[in-house]
Amino acid sequence: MNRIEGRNDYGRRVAAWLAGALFVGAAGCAPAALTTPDGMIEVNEPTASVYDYRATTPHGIVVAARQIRQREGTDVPPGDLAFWAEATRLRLRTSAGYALIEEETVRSVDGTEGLRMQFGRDQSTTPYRYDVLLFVTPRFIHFVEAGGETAKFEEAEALIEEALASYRIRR
Amino acid sequence: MKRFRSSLIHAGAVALAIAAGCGSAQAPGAYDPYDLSVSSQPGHAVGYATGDASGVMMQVTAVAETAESAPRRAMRSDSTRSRESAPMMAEASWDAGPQMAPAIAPPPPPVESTPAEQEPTSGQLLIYTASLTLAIYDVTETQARALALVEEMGGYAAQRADSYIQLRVPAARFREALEALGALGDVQSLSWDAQDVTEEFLDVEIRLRNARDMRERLAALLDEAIKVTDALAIEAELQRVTLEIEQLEGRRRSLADRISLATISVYFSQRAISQVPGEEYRLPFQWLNQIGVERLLRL
Repeated sequence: MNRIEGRNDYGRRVAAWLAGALFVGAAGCAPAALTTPDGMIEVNEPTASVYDYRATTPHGIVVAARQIRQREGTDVPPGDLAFWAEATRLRLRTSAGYALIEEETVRSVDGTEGLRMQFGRDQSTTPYRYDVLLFVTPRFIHFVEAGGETAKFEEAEALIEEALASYRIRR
Repeated sequence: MKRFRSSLIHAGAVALAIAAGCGSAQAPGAYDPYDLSVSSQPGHAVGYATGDASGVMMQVTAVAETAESAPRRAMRSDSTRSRESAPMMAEASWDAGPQMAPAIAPPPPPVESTPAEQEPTSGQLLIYTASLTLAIYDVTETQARALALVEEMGGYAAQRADSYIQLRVPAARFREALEALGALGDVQSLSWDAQDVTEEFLDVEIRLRNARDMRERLAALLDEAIKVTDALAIEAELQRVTLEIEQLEGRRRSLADRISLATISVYFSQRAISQVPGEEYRLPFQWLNQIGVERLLRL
């Protein structure tokens, strides 16, 4: 590689980094803040995906996170944790056939208080588990999920808990 | 001689019927979709009308046929809802509708009566038919109401399907039935037809009378027959005449039935109802409506 090519390559990388930073800044996205534990791999989400982050175990137990903007930009009105927790419960229990199994208060790594809801549903004769962690900040609803076949979920529970416990809200 | 006399009776009856059918032309009055006025004018005739309960667009072309032509018809059709223009060429009325028909022609005999009781003396014998399309909310309930209504009037349902019912009502209550049925929903279209079958009925009558006379004469001849060959020939003729009488009686019964009971076909079209959101819990946040393990696992 000669000096001119090297300089061009460096310039291209700086331009790409700046463009990326500008894009993130312009979109106003709260970046995903989950640490993928060993034993899971992160999935590349397509541009149109509703998820900001998804990772899976080899058996297809998936952990995902998404941040939904409050107030600014979209049609989402502001709401507190109680509002969105009740909306989630109602949606899953009354319209989607889920049973609420357990609820507990949780905290993210940065100390934000949230709610964990454990749901279950059967498909044919196979039981599925679906856990939701909900954190609400003035700007974002943080919706963290984990789900899959109950039996496999329980086998991978340590990995799932590690991933969920790593959720950090960046302000 | 008898044949000549029959022809005279026939011609006289037809002349009476025609005279009764050629009402004078008059200016149209206020539009009423259930007004069963007969449009007629001497000469060639066609009846046509359009309009509806709320609108006025109506066209009536009236034609009364000549004495030789048969049968005359009065027709009315209401299929549009605007009443901007009301060209009406002529309207020879029975303003009161078919109830008034008996003033011109005697009321049609009840279907149960014997042919002898149905003997027309003069005037018109009309077969009323109507077709009504109603926009409604509840087909089943409205059908039941329509049926109850005509049963109360002495009629019945001849056919019934999911969105259709064919009703038979006493001819004298034809207009009343149409009005009552129209009130069950939003009238989308209405057409009716009054077919004058006076001539046809009289023709059947005369042919029936002649055939009966013939049968009596043949029976008398059979009693007097001496030769076997003659007797056989008379019996064959008697059989033919008897068959003809049965056919004519059947035709007469059919006409009498259609004269005495009007036929109203009612088509129900369900009025579009905007769907009220169901019981599904749904807030206007797409992301919330998409949560669940199904979506999560779709990698």
